[in-house]
Amino acid sequence: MSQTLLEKLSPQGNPRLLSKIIIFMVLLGICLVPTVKAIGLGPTQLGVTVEKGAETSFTRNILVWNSLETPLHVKATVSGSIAPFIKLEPEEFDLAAGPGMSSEKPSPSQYVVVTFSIPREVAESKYTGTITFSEAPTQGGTLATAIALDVGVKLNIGTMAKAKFPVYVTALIVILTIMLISSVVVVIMRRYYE
Amino acid sequence: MSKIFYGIWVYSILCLILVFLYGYYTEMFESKILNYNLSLWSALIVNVILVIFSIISIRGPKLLPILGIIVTPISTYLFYASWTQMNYMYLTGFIIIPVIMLSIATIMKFYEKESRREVIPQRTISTEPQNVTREGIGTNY
Repeated sequence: MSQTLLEKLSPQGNPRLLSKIIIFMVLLGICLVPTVKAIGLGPTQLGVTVEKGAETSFTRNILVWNSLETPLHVKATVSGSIAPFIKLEPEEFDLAAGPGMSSEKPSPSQYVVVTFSIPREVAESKYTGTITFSEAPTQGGTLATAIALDVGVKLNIGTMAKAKFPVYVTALIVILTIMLISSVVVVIMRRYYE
Repeated sequence: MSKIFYGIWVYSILCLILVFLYGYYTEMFESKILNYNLSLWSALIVNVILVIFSIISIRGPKLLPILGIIVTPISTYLFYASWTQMNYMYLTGFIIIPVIMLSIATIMKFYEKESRREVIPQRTISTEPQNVTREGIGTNY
């Protein structure tokens, strides 16, 4: 009853417990080693503040890289209240095998373009969400572990901005104004000559 | 003709005012009435004015009044969609409608006056010699 922890863990003390711990550690190692280093991301946070109606769409880039010596197939998904306003390009892509975790050589990488499209009519002033990059098994049948790295996204919407018309709208306004003036001139001149 | 012409003229002015408000007082369209923002209601009021003018002048030439009635819902939607979706292509469509209608109205007004003027020269006396006889004009023996 008065056994110390070391005595309990010793093969003589409790051989079954020790073997259980070793098996657990090995399994944990198998699961954790690829998850920690397989996919690299940057930046891990995206925070954007916009005036309501100021910009219809704008983009931000996220760099994803592979540090493993095996190729990866990565899938990107968006969740949270911000999801309707975000589009990812590409949503799925392959990363070639990297030089290894200990190597200083550059890892194969891929830029993912995050396009924000915010309409003028939005109900909330703050939207949050997560862009998740998960590793899917490649065609070679490598170990499919549940790897998922997240990029937090925050969108703050400020007060309403003035509309900035493009050139073609301004040109049409000018044409309409000229048309109004010229139609009045035509009517006045006709009346005068009658 | 003059009723629909002045109706389209007033409609074009109102459209122009609406577009200026869109550009310089964008936030005013944010307020809502019955779950719809002011962009819908203001565009609807402007287009109702055009419909009223179209109905009043339906007895005259039919082209512009019918065109006015047809474009009214389209124009309302274009302005509303342009504001809510922040898509200026819709606004382009909204401005093109009065431009086209005003062009047609001005041309029609112009030709209406021209046709009236053309009637007057027919009354002028011809200077060419005519065969006048005791029996009457234009009888030769």
